[in-house]
Amino acid sequence: MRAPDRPRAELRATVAALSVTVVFFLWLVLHIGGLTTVRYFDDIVTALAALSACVACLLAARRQSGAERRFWVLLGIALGAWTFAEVVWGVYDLVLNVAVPVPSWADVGYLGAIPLACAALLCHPGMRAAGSYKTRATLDGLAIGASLLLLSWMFVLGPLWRGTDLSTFGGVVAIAYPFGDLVMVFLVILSVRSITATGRKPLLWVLLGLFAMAVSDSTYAYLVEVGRYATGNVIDTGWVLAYLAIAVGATSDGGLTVRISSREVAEASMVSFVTPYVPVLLALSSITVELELHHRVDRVSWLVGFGLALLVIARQALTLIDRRHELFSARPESARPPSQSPGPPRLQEDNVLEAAPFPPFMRRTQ
Amino acid sequence: MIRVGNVSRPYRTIVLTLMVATSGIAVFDLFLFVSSAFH
Repeated sequence: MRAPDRPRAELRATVAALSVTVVFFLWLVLHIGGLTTVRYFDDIVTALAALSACVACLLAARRQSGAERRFWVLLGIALGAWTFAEVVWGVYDLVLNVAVPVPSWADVGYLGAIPLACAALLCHPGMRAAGSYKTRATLDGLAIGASLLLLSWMFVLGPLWRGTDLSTFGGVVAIAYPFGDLVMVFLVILSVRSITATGRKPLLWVLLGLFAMAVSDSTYAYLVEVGRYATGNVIDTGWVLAYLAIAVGATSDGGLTVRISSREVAEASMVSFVTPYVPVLLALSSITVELELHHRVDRVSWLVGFGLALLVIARQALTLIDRRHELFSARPESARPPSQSPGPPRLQEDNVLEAAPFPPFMRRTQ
Repeated sequence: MIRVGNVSRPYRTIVLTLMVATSGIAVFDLFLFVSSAFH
């Protein structure tokens, strides 16, 4: 049951999170108080943001039960690891006054949090794939994964891979970040794909947070690689935004359990339609520009890009085949089991006639 | 409760546009990949 004051708590948390993020960003951009003050402000606010998200997740876990509780507990532990990492970073930066070494204890927290966050996402009920259309879902997953790998390889992972000495532990740690981020963004997009229009707002906030986290991590890895990162960099706002978005998501979860009937088609949200296309279009456009400009495309980019183009074409061909099959075979009566009580006539008709021309992945059945 | 319903018309227009754009660029990319392999 949703707590009666939950919307108000959610609104307060959202306003507070936005205010803190904007103030944090402006502080870093304007360098208020000089370099030392910015360093203190940056390290302390980031650690506090991580701690607040950790506490909010554990409180959300107390309000929930079952799979939702496991999701918030795992996410809370991940946020605990991130808090630990932020504190260690702050100790190196503010107390010991030394550059944070690689590898350090902070890396244990940062890297340890990634599999925990991924496990949390896999635990969420929204991640359960529909029973049917598995081929389509697999092709979608492969295409999204290939797109992210291609983008990361072209801009972050590839340059790091070529410039890092992988025979050292520090090198392996440096390369582990973008790999972990890749997996996290992949799971985030798969989760967004299964979000329906209502009832999943907490998850959407969490996904926004994890996405901001992964993008910040990868940008950080890139800036470190080119030697342009120092505490107080504007990209630090990404981590604060990430932690606070997760905190807002946890606050907005009032213990409501979302259930979808196995025979019902849930209306999917706009974001779940569009999101899977974003990485695919970005990756295909990027590799097109590279090829058109006759830039050197290395073997990994070539193979992943070629595979991605084939995957996209195979997926669209499958869509057309399914659509043809459904248009000729689907009828309102056959789509509904005889025992099921008929719903409003217009709705039933809409479900079949309107949804049939769509690729099946758009119809949320669980 | 999750609302039961069909995919609405604006969604269809946007998603079909995305599908066509993705397919088009994928075919064009295949052409570029194959031609780059022979150079």
